[in-house]
Amino acid sequence: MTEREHLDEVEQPIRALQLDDMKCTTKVRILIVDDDAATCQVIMAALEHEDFQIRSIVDPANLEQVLKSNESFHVVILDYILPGLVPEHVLAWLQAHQPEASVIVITGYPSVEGALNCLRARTFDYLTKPFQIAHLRQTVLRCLQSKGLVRLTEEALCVALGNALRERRKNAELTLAQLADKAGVSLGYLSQIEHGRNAASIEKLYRITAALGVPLSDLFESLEH
Amino acid sequence: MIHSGAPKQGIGASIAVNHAGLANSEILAQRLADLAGLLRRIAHDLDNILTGIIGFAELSLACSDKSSPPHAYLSELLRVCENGIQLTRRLHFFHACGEVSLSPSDPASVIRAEVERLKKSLPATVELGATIETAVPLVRLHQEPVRHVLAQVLTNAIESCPERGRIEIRARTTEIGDADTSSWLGALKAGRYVEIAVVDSGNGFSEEARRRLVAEPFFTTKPKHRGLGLPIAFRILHAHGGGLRFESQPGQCMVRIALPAASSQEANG
Repeated sequence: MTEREHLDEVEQPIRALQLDDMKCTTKVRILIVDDDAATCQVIMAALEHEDFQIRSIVDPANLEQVLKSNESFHVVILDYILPGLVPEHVLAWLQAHQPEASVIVITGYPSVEGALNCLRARTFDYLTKPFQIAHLRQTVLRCLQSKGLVRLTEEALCVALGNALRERRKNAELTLAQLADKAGVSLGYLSQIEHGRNAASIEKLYRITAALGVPLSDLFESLEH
Repeated sequence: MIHSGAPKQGIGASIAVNHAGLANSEILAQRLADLAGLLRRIAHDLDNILTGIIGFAELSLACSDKSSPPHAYLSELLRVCENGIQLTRRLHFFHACGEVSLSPSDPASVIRAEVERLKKSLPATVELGATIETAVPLVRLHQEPVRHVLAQVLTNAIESCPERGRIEIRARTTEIGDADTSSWLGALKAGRYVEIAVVDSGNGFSEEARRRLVAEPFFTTKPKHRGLGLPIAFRILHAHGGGLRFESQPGQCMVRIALPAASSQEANG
């Protein structure tokens, strides 16, 4: 096998973006409200991130006071049914005192009535118990993306761009060598970019996308998904 | 395979079971509704417990070596939790099925769809035939729960069929008089009904088993079953103002489902 063929063979699995790939633009304050202590703990553990500041409330009696305090939250992960509280009241407090907060509702079981209330209060999304850790993380990630609070780490950006380039190269049915020739970049350089090991300059990225016949904007748009 | 046309054998010789002394339908409905509320609360607590177990198992799995025993055990643990999720979903459904939102629908299309679906998983030794009277009136029904009842009754029939068994589904319009309503389990009043009869060539159940199968959630005569099928069927049919009844003799068992025909006003509204 020649070196050229070998470079084409090496595949990296393309995975969905993870919280670990992200860097936050600010300290993200997250509030978890669930009367089940284990649920709070598991959510806190699942969302461990250097840029997150997480607080949890297990006793619903404290909720009103915390929501009305000066502390503002970016994301509130809320158990829909809290003993002693009416969901509509909780959502109303959130709207009045935490205008910045996006709410992710956790329901025991999705009831139509519950889903409608969530929509009315412009809840970001809801999760059904028991949920998967990956689903919880993805939901929080989407929520932070929609609020402009996260960006990819430099490393993750390189990998994501590399994946996007490889996908487009395969669609164009070009080998690495063919594309390198067309774009006027070295084979090694293109390979490193596809594998996310090197940050390409805008000028080089432009050359490569032009050789692929796709707009540069298409490549950047793909990072949003 | 589906057969059309009249079945060769009638069921006239079977003995109708008088349910009047068995259980008063309204008391039964109330008792099952109370149980449904209780089971929903238990399911809620179980969901919380499962959330903790599944969550920490997934977190542990992610930081365990893929070829290590803990990784295999944790994967196994998550598979076991999947059974727990199935159980709580079933308990939640037992609660939720008591509330239906009714709209005029053609029962024949619901029956046909369910028969088509079941045909795909039917054992080769069991024949399935459907006879649906032409111009069956519309019924105010909630399609998904009614489909669920049909699936439950048909699955019971398939499972109780001996080898080379045969199942017949017959749908027709019938008038049920005041005197007859007490032989049904449900919420029937005198009037016009669409009756769906499911007849199988199995031996049915003893009267004792039949009573307990409807009235006692978690009582089951079959392995791998939860014993919620008939209580759920009862709750759904009761909520429709319909009901069910059983008739059996050795070698033939019939379950009849009744759903009230929509008045012409309701059908147009």
